[in-house]
Amino acid sequence: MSGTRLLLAFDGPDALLAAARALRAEGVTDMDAHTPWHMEELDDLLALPRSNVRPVMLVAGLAAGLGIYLLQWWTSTQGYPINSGGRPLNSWPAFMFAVFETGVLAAAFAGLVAFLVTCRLPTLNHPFFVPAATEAASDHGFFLSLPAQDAPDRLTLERMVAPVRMIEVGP
Amino acid sequence: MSSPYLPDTPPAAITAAIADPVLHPDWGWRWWLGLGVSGALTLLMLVSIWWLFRMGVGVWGVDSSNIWGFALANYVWWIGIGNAGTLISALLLLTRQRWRASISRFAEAMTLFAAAIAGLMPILHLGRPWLFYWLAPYPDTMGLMPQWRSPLIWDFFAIASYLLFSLMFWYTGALPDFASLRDRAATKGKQMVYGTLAMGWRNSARHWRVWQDYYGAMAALGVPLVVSVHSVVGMDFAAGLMPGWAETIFPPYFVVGAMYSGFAMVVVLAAAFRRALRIPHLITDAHFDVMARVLLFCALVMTLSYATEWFYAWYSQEPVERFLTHTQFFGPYAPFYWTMLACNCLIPQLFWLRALRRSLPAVLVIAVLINVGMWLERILIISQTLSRGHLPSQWALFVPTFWDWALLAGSLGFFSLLFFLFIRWVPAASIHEVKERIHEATP
Repeated sequence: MSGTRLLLAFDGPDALLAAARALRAEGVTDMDAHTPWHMEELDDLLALPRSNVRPVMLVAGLAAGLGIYLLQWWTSTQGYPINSGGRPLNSWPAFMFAVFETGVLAAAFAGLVAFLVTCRLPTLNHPFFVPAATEAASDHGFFLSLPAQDAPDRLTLERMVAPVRMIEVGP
Repeated sequence: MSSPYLPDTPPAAITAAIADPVLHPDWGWRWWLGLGVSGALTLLMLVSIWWLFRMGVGVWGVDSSNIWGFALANYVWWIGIGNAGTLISALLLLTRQRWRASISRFAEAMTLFAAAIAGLMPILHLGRPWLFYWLAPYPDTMGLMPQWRSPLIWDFFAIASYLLFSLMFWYTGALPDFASLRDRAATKGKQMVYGTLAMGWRNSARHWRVWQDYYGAMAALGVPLVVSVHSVVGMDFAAGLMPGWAETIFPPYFVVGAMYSGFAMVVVLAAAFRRALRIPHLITDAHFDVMARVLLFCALVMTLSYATEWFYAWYSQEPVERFLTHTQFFGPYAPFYWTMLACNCLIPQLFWLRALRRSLPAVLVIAVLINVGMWLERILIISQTLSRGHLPSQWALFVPTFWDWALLAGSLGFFSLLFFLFIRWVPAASIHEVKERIHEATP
């Protein structure tokens, strides 16, 4: 994702999808897109890899749940055992509330960190923001992004996918 | 028009409709009036808290019989409202309901505000609130850990997890919209504030994919979390031995009650937002229709829950349970109980009529009545049981004081104050999701 990139602007999602399909057939790889909403079609079309956010969440949730269970077990049976009406010291059913809540919270937090790290956010300054036209990506603009050195030349692109405009974005 | 819940509008118009009220506010005196009234009530809440801290819990109507009083009723009521936001948002996302897009953002904000207020109530009720951090497990100098078998500890974990979880869920959903505001903002200050909040979001398809992985997983976790949080609240009661509390039905009964009051609050807020932001094309009559159906369903489940309680009392032949049920209908609090039954069970039956489901004033009035009914339910569960416990010598009626009412009114004012600020600074509906749903609905 480094190096100079070429942004092809389109005025609708269908034109963007058609262009992505055409360029993919042409053998262009390492494509990205900038769209106002999550277009699920692009996930397959651009062969975007699945992130490891969910495995991270699973591991973090299980680890935190286990950790808080061990803490409860230790305080109730070793650190400060209280005989409360003859109930078992290791009252695991009563411990499950904290296990579940802590597990979910840890999964959520780990997932947020994994999401930000995978996307390399926060990145407040990025070449993408330099041309003013890219501001439309969060409104009504649809951009297909491809590595400038692998892209077909501009005349071919014009003929193939007919973008509204082409913008070069520095490295 | 391809969907009754969404306008047939191009993406740019959606951004304008939702972002412009935030970026170019034109609220007039109504916003300032609302802010002023809410601010005054918030001040009342702060004064009542200050007085409570100064004088102790004796300023309330609580005594050694009625140990819980308004603080715990407010807590259960507010956390119920708080539960609905994330539940609605997550459940409707998982079931791919198109009508979610326009209401999820403020429903989630409702969760944050209500859960924060709810979390305050048990702390205020602690007696020595400044020591509330003793609830957290940390290695202190006394070598003590919390009592893990105590419902108060379960509450602490449930509320703290829920509040932080809801904040992350809400922020992740709003992140792309902050980017929209950043790109649309005309002043340097707004660009910097929303730019920081957007964290450099570039609407990249790679990022969207990761975002979806996270957001979808959060929704899937959110539903069981909400159910667990309000089950814990139900367990606060069910783990006790008092008549009318020690019932296995309590956790699910409380979850449905939470969804019920929360949905009623969403209806009230939706009506307010639709009017204030002038977005009847985003929050349509069809939205109120479908929300009224949900309320009707909840009303039926609530009625079934109440009937199950009566059945338990009769079938168990337990004298205190039967006495309590008799007291509910004919005791000193009976007028409130009948009002509660009317508000929660009877009046929502009007939603069988399609014309009323589509009439905004009718839906709004019934939703407010449901909220009143649900608050009555919470205070009655507490006061009826505690005022008529096992020991007749302990019988004493709970009578709220001025400071009880001041805290309740003040917390309502604080809630609306937060919403007046929210509507001014945050896009009230999900810009990117409305666009996505419109795109999906367009063949």
